Amino acid sequence: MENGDITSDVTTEPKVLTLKERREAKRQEKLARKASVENKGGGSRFFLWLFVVIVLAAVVVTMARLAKNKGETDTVATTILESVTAKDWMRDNLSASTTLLEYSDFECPACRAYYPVLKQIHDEFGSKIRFVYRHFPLTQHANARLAARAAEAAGVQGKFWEMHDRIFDTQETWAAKPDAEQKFIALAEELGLDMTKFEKDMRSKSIGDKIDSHYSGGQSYGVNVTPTFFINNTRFTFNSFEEMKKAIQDGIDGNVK
Amino acid sequence: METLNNRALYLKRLAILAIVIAFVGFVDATFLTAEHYLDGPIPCSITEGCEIVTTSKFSVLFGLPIALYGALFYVSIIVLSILYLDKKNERMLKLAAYFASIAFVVSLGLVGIQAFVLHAYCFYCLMSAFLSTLLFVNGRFMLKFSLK
Repeated sequence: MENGDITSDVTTEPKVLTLKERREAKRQEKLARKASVENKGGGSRFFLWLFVVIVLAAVVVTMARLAKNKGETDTVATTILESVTAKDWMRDNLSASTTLLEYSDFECPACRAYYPVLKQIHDEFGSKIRFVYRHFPLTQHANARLAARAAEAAGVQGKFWEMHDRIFDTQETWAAKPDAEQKFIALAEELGLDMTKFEKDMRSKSIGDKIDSHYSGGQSYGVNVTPTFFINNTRFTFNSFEEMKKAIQDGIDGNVK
Repeated sequence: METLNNRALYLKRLAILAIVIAFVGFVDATFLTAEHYLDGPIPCSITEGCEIVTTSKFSVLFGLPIALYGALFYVSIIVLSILYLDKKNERMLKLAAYFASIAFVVSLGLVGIQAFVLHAYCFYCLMSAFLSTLLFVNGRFMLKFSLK
């Protein structure tokens, strides 16, 4: 029985080895392994490192693309234009056929960065577009909702946009600060508002409800970052001022749904 | 002899584990670095407080984003671990373990800044701190199994 012989060889062989022989075998094995490590130089080592470099470079390129493209998703919200009413904060040409709508958070640094850009838009396209501002105060910004309340309370006295500008102009003085309310009251005083009324309105439930309705409305249109812009019914998140200008011009030309 | 072989096997596994963890960390840190160098402002997201963290004055050190130092740290762990697997030089693993210890302390500091100074958390940053902690623990085992 050949098979039987082989099996018995395999099983009995180790038992035959003395301790010394076994040690010697392991030593040989180790030497062989060491030799194989040392022989592995040249070509294969070069390819190993080439592979590492290529993989890491691919990660860098992919992540750079991912980070850049993150903001360019366009989704269509079919009814957002219809949702704009006289209760919304609007400026520029109210009867224009193109609407630029912003969901914004007063405490968001990106919204602050877009604020001067929107002023340029206002100067350049003011006669051709209708600009709508809606609140989207994010929970991680401790004073964003309070800032929205201050702007609304100023709005009751007809100074919404003036307050809007001042809140953005002074963002770094009140953002994440415990005394933000005092800062907003000081801004209202500068605007010459009726202070008793301002403070009462700023804390009123109806203004809180209005901000809530902006927020939940925004969520229903898929808003999840600030600023989020809509031109007519199309959602945009821009990577640059030029991109924004081009999209608005497209809107004015009637090319944006 | 037996223990030596076990030791080598453990170190090999630890090195491979370090490469896997550091690779995930490298992806994470590279994404944050790429975001930092983007042209447009980072939008504020409903789910994260990331922009507060990544645009804070603590996000930059010597003119370079912290995330870039993180990415370089993860590359160093990958390179040192591969060097060990290639040449079986345990000093490489020790060096990786020391780097991981430094990164762990730095991560603790950065999480502390998020919790107590900024009061905002960035998922990608917390992820990196978690991975640094794993690499630190991994590094302790590397030191334990490597020759004194």
